[in-house]
Amino acid sequence: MSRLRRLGAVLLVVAVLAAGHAIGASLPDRNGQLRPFPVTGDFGTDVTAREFTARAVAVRCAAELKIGEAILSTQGVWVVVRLRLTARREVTSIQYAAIRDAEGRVYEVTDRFEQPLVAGGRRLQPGIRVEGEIALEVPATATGTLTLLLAATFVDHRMDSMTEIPLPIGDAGAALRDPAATEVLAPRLVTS
Amino acid sequence: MRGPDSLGRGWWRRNVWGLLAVVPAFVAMGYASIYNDLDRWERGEPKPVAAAADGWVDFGGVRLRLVEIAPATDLKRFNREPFTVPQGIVAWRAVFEIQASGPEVPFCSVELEDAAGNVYDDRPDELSRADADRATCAPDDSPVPAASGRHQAAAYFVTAAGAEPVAVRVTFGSVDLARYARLSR
Repeated sequence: MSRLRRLGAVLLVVAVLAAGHAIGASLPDRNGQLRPFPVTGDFGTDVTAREFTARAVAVRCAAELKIGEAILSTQGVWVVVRLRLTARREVTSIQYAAIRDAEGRVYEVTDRFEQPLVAGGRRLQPGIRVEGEIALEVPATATGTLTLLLAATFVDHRMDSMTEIPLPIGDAGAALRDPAATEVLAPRLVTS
Repeated sequence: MRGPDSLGRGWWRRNVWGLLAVVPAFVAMGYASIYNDLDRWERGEPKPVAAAADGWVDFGGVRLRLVEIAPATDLKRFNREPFTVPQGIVAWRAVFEIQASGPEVPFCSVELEDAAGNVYDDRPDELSRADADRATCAPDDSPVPAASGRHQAAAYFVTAAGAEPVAVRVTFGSVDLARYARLSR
């Protein structure tokens, strides 16, 4: 009886350890547990994150950008999004902008020219709306819904909110058939 | 589970203290797991130091007193031409007096607080083309000559029209990041 009880105890310990390992293995990793809180909203509407409110006002695709006198081409296609941004209670800045495609691939905002609206350079004061355009490069073959991601954090987005706004782009590659370069609107105050 | 021991105690009675210890152990484990985040969050929320009855705030080795928070309607560009802010936006100038106990005054940063609790930065991007320097609290940057050991600092802000400024917050980052002097109107 004593031997059976001892064997039972060992089996119980093994079962508990196995269950613990199975639970641990099935849980998301640390970064997954602390991933940003998605705040999803429709295109053209205010989407409110912890520190800011963002509205994607317009979107278009282009084969080339005209930045000052320079023409910027791309191996893919430029997605130009017009944004309206407002800080909520404290001064903040948008430090992260990216597009995520249907496959989950993420394309961050280009650093080929200065984009202060979403590169941390523009400090947003509470209640004062700032509007401007940003440009991102995606492959012309990018399919499905493209989603714009915005955050006030630079690299570490864990445990903070991130806006997710689906962009109404049917065929990103269609822009390649129009060779006209497009300009990117600089940030300006919106008072109406 | 074994039966009663030599004293006649069952499993629950033999292990009662161990079971009771589980509760504080879980509490301690939970607190330890969130302590770092809690501590960081608390440190990220600086506490205000309010003014005494005479309107002065003792903070960071200096005394501070609000002189005014008023619309800045006389801003100039760097070429001395008038600077105007867009419609729907109001520029504000906050002036406060500083009485230092020694020759040095720590570098300060200044924020504006409105009645809704919103907090604005000194010298925002909206005033980048205006001749409105950031406040430093240094005697050399005083808008009026120092007298009797006192000088002034001026800070400039913008708010949306309709916002009602109620106080400025002065922080001496090199002295105390956990608190700020709150100079209310």
